[in-house]
Amino acid sequence: MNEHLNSDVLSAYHDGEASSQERAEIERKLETSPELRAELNGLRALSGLLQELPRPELPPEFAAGVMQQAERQMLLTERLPTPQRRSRTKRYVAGAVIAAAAAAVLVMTQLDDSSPSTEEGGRYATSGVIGIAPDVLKGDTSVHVVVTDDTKPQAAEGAKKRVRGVPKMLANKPGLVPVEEVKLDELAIGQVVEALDTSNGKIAVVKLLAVDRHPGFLTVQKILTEQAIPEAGANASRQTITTSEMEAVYVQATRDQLVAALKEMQKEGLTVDSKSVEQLKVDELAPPAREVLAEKTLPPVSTGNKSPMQVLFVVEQKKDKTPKTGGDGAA
Amino acid sequence: MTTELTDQELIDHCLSGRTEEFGRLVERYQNRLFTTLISLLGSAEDARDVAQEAFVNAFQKLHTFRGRSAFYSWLFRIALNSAVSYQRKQKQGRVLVSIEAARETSGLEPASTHPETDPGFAMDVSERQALVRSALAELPEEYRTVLVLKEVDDLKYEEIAEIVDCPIGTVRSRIHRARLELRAKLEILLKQQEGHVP
Repeated sequence: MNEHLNSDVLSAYHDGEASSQERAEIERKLETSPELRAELNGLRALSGLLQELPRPELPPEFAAGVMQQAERQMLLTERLPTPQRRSRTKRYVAGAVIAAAAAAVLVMTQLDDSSPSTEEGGRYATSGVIGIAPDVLKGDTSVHVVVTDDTKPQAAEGAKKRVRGVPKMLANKPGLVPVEEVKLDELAIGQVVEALDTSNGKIAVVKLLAVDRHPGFLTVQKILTEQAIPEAGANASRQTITTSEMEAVYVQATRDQLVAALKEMQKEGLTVDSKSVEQLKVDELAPPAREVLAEKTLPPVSTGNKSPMQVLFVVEQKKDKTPKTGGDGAA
Repeated sequence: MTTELTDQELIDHCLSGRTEEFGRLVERYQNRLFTTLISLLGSAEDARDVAQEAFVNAFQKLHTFRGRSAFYSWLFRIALNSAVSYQRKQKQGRVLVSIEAARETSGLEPASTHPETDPGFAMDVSERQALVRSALAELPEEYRTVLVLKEVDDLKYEEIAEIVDCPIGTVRSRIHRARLELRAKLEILLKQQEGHVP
């Protein structure tokens, strides 16, 4: 057997990837070794077979489909490809705006007939929680806004705190409870409490600011109105649901309208927390939302050639639906 | 006369808000990516799904592209991850070209995965391609990936190393081993082919 059969030199030579020294040596041996020449021909034949494989093309509409899917994902997560990096000062301001805006806003694409069904008959929808803008809260800022009507910048300022080193921190703050265990219903509007956040694999002390969810909900409604998504009349394409647990609005609109609305919400400080995107069972939603989704009481929206999308915006106070601490905590 | 924008220019436009420019990047690379994914996954349908997912993921991660590598290399690395996720979803421990996939790709049923057992076997182009795909699919994934990137995508070792995240020497070695295994599987075919190689 040729000595080169057991090495990768000839293969690299065939690919034009051998070093100059290796190349010189192989070319010298090729002149005198029929076996090596046969070996090289074998490699060429193998390449010929692989390169002979058909190269089918995707249909011209493939790119449009990709863009539609990408924009749909953007709608669901509002994760723009552009990094909206903000200065430290702007982050501070953004924190204040968020505090004024709302609690958790759950955006859920409404089910259509193509939605997959669970084995139990329950239906799934892709959802994302609009809460704290991750890109706003990166770095050493860690603000967890729950509910408030306090628009004072000082509140956001006071909420900035990130602590590393759990044992020491816990020793200093023995009364600290995890964010999930904070009794939100017992907080007064404007009250600030400290809690332990362990999301994203990192540990931090965060300050929770009690916020009234209603102003946030009004912001959502205002934006929907601005996007020409009527609330009443023959062409009504949104329906409000208000309960003691949550305020929500069910919307049918074009994708463009919804994308525009979400961008406006982002400007108002309501931003999708992409870390929270997950699959949710509709059955796990609060009953009013579930009923609205089941009944689909809104008439079909006339949008010309554009297919309407259905979205449920939920502003709620349920503890298990509140946003986690913003950002990935990367310090 | 319109000037063809570079990948980086299209990316910059997209990041500055003209997201529709990403569609031009898709058009530029969709067929190249599709072809390579077919060779990796063995199915045009799977390759299309993975290509779409890869482009969507690339769109979402575009702001992380630093331009240290070619856009296609970066894209293909995302596609590889998408392929792994896709296979996991489909609960396929290992990719194998099924009879259906071979038929779908070549338009013909593969006559046999081991034609060397049939002395009188004479293959036309489609049958030969189906056999090559089948043999390719039998390679270990780490070998198949680098060999496809070399032979089908014509990437340099350095680019392949970047995509599969391993040293160039490892790429070189894997390609060599992949060829040895593939040659053994396609021995009869290669003897026929060698007569046509100058």
